[in-house]
Amino acid sequence: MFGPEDLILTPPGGGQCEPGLPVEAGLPAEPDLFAGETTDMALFVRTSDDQVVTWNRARIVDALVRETSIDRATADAISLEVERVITTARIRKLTAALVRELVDAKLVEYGLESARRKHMRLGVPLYDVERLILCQNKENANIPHGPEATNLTLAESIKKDYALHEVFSEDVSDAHMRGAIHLHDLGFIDRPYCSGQSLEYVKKFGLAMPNSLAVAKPAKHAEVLLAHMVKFSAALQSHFAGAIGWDAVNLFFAPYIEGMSDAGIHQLAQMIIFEYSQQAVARGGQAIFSDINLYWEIPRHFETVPAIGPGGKYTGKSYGEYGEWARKLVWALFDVYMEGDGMGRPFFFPKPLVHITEKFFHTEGHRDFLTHIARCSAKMGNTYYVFDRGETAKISECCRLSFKLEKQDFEDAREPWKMRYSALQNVTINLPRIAYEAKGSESELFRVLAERMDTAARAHMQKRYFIERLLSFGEDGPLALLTMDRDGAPYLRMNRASYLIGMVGLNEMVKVHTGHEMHEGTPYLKYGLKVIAQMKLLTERLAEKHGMRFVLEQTPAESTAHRFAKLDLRYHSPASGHAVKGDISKGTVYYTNSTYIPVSAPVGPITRVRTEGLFHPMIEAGSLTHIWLGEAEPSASSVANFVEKIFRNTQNDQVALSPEFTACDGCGKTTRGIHNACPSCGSEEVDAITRITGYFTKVSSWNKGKLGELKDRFRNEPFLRKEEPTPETVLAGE
Amino acid sequence: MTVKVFVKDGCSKCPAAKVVAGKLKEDGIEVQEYSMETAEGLAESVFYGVMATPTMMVVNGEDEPVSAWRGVVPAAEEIKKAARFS
Repeated sequence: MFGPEDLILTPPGGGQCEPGLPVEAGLPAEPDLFAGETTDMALFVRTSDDQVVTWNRARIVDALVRETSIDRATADAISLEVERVITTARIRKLTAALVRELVDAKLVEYGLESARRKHMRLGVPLYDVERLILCQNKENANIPHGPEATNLTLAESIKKDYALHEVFSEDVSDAHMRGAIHLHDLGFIDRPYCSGQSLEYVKKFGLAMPNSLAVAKPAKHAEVLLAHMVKFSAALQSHFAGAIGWDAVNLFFAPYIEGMSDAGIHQLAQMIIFEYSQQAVARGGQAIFSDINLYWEIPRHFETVPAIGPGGKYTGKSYGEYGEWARKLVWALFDVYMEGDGMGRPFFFPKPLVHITEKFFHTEGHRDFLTHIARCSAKMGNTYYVFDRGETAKISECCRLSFKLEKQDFEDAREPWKMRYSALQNVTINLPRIAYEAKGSESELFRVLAERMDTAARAHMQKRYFIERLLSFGEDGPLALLTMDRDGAPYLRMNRASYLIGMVGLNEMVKVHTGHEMHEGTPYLKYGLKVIAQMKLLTERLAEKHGMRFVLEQTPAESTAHRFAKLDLRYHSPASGHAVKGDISKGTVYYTNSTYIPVSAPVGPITRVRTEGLFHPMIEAGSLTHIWLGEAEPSASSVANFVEKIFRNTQNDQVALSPEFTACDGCGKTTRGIHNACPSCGSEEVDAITRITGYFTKVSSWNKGKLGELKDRFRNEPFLRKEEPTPETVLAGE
Repeated sequence: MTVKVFVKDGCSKCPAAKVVAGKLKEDGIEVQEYSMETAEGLAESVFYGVMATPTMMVVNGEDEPVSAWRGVVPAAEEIKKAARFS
């Protein structure tokens, strides 16, 4: 058995968690737990349900006939051959997994590939399991490292295999495996992608979920409403792969806080933020990827809607009468964001999305509030500015996803609990790959683009079919929560679901095709616009053809931008070597996300916001421009001025400013900028913190591609002076 | 100077904009017509912030708009005057 020295675990590769290291290096010799214990190995099999059973060849025959439908005579012949191999090889540890592998090998020899696919075992190699347990998963920076995270990753790897073999057709799976497209969240194949909803659902119906151990009636107090909201978010997190977004949170809380003291409201704001930022005990130890949509004004579509208050009862007032309380809460929320956590670090979740509308600028106190949230932007970076121009209204979530409200939605807004939206899946197209394949031919480039869009649409149809199958089991099935019907419709309204088609590396596609990057001249920028315009037109045609709501989204591509670059270096070298970003020798390669101009482009923030914003009207399901602040901390009025100019003078959909921080585990201080050692106490036990694709996290959890991107980011220092600005000095950032 | 004309199928005033564009061409003025149903037309309209059809726009050699008529159809003479073609 293991001695005490064997309990000191070393990751494969002598303590490093990098791929490709030899298995043996650093591993203690494996003790033989069964040495001398087994008398006749060939007679016993360790099964997958933890039993040791007597060898019985007929079990192979039964499994083959049951699972693959091959005839019994062939199954019998295969079983005999497998038995011979086992006997001849004098295998000492016979497991059901090994028997199945031997049978699969025979199926290959017999040319029964289709039977082999049906009979195959999904699982994870021993080496990989050990690595997963010992090393952090860096595919998603929002997954911590611990036993829960390991469970999540192991389950994901099996479900991913299942999805690629059983849910998607071979051509779609192959396109993913080759890196022509990326099927996101394969490990969550049995869930939709993300969910956006209104707090009114919880206020009206309380917590009465299928399989609940206890049912809670509608909340009577603000704190209880928050508890319901958080519990419901956690339940949703276990049924969706991605973000959980909540609409107009400050407005819907307002009837519960009427008459509350300022201190009480501050306390509630603190509870809201801490509850979401510390929810690290649910799925995989992840915090819930949560978004709260916030308004300073009363959104036009909620003005005359009857308000629901304590106990789920109508208060007799409309939401238009709760402006004062909604504004008190949203102000307090930003007070808390500005304070940061117990170490002064920025809160990672919930992400506050403030909607900037024409009405915003006609609502009392808007200038003070804009300065307030701008101060938070500059100091902590939390604020997301979502621009709703004209009659546009939307619910935003995830890294930049948004659901634009349509005519039916404005009617649903009379009963806001009906406002539930979901994107079922996200499929991303590798744009540089298309340019390599087109070899300079424009007609070929657009032909392949159309082919890839078609593949993405097929992938969506296949996922929809699978989810519909799961939903068909109703409240007894695996997606019971999503089928619960409290208002005449299932929680997940499939008829309103959207299907996202994203893109990665537009900039590199343009570079491969024209020889220039998009920021290097108008013709190249216009070429990029033409590609996205074509994608938009194709999306509309596919939507009409298949009767599905296909929409373009700027894929966050936290790991996809790295994955595509790596695969293209493998399949399209040397051309790809000139196009990928990052350091090839260190493996920190990546493509520029979605339709962005390169993060390293030396352009001022106004040019970046305006240029990237040109793409936004064509990307219906959400876009975002990042302004990387680095160490700089601009003045609040400078940022507020900038935000108003963006609203008035550009088409940009959403903007966030991202500072960088170093949090010291030694002295507990958080300082501006990324440093290798704490500027205060010198300790090297520090965490760098900044925004990855669309949310704050620790840099130590980033994948190699994003680390390469971080190194390349052009910080807009000139714009970000601390002096009081005038519009001219703001523009001087150009 | 170039005149850019943005049109769309089913837009009631677009045929009139095309007639004006034809007159300008007859007078030797460079006119570029873009359909919003094509990738090139949509891209160009986004680049110039065109939100309505028809839109007629005069741009200078630096690709910068000098004058624009959005959702209305001006007389050919008006465009020529704005662009100092006449």
